[in-house]
Amino acid sequence: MMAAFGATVLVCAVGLALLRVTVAAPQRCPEITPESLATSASASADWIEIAQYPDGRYVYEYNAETDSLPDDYNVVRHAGVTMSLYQAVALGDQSRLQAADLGTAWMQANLIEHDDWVALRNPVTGRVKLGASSLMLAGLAQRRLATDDPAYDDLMRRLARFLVVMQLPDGAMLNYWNPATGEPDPTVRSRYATGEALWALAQMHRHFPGEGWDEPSWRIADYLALHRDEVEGLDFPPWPDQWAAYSLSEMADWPLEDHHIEYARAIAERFGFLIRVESQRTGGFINEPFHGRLTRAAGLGTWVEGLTSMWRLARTDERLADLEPKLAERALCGAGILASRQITFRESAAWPSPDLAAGAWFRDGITRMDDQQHALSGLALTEAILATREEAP
Amino acid sequence: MSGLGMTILLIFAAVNPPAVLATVNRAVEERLHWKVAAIAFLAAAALLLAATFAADAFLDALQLEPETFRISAGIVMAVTGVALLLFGPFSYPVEPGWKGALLPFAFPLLASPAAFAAVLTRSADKGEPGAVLASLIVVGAVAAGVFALSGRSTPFAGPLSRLIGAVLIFRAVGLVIDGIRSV
Repeated sequence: MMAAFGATVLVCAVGLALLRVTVAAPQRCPEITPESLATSASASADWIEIAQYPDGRYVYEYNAETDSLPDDYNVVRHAGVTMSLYQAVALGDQSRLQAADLGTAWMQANLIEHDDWVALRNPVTGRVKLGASSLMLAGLAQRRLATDDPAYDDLMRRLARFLVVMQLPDGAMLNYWNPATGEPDPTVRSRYATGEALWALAQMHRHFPGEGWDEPSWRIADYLALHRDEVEGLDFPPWPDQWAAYSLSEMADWPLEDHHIEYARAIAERFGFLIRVESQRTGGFINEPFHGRLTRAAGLGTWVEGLTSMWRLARTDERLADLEPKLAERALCGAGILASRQITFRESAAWPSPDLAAGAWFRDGITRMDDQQHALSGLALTEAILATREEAP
Repeated sequence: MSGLGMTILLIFAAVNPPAVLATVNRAVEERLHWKVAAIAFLAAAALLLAATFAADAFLDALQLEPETFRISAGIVMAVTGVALLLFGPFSYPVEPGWKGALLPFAFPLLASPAAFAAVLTRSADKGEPGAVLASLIVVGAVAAGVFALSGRSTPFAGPLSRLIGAVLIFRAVGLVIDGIRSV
């Protein structure tokens, strides 16, 4: 009798232990205060400023193990980093405007003109990739929001016209424009570019509401919500697209239709799940085989961006109101994890180049500018959630 | 199905009444004394109610969100369901009297690991009242049913326990998916 009971308890104990090191591992969400959040966001923006060259480009990648700067660059990421600085300005940190404008000046020097539009091209390869122009436009839209300065309005319209040129009848966006043929390359779509273009065009509608930018926006939103994952063969749908999340949040008061809300709920759930999984990752030889490597800041930051966007949408649209508390909780968790993994100013003293370590996130000894971009955006956007909690009685 | 209905179904499938009956009848030839059934009911109910009320503290102590725990609970239930589906009811020696009422009738037959998982996850997700009511209904009904049918020939119990094991797997997979598809 006791032997049977003992065997039962033993089997249960082994099972529980297995669960504990796998799916039921503790979730760790480091506490984040308004002060620590602001400090972390500011430190990441500082890194971007320090890493900016006089011509407006940024250090693309820094390898701390070799203390070297690989000779590589990515125009889409340049536009994204600049956009994150404008986001910081729009969220109240005016001190970032100068660096962001310098980043814009570099992009202005590398535009290609065609018909009635302009696009940002890679000055080395000559390639014209949609995402670069989309994020440049999204950044300028954030600048317009922050400063009310109309200086770039004409440029914004010309960039937006390029985006519309790249749209397919089903609402999807093509990834490349081919300078040799003078036409978009009809064969390549991009999981990133479509959402980026939607966010840029949706912001155009905010700034210039009578100009018809909502029409291509609706078509992209429908494509993302209804067809994208299937048409583009994306595994494990919905693909966690933070650009789509930004866009849906931007379009909240248009208002969105039920299928957009259904899609928004699905990506909100995916972002939440990803943060829960990340909160179980600690690295090391026991945790890593079961939970995977720590996600780099460029990935984790996008999840926080997505969660904060969905949180704003949930506060606006009652069809998602039930998700608001959990979205806030997950965004704060993600921000806490980000802040806890950032190299602080004090820690940076032990690194070979402290200036390029402080405020950055490293994996395998390497940080890339989009690590700081997405972390900055995610952290800065989370401040609104904490502010709401501070105001609550 | 309502929240309470789903909780009852989940706990019912996790306890798996035909499997309990088959195990008891395999070990005991005479009909159970009503006191044995009553003691088993009280002990199992006490265990499951304790789990219900401790669910939030338990998850806090484990540093687990209810959504994440749903996945773990689903796995526990799925493993139990697969075991029942493949191998049928478990075999336990049953001592006569109150000892047998506690081990194995109350634990691990009525208050089985799968039942604990079901009660904990439903309590964390839907609140304590529903989990309490569902636990009392299911455990009470199963204890009474086993008392009534003990000592009789129950050839249906084995196949039915496998069928309910399949239902448990179905619900467990649903729980896992629900845990993954939650914020």
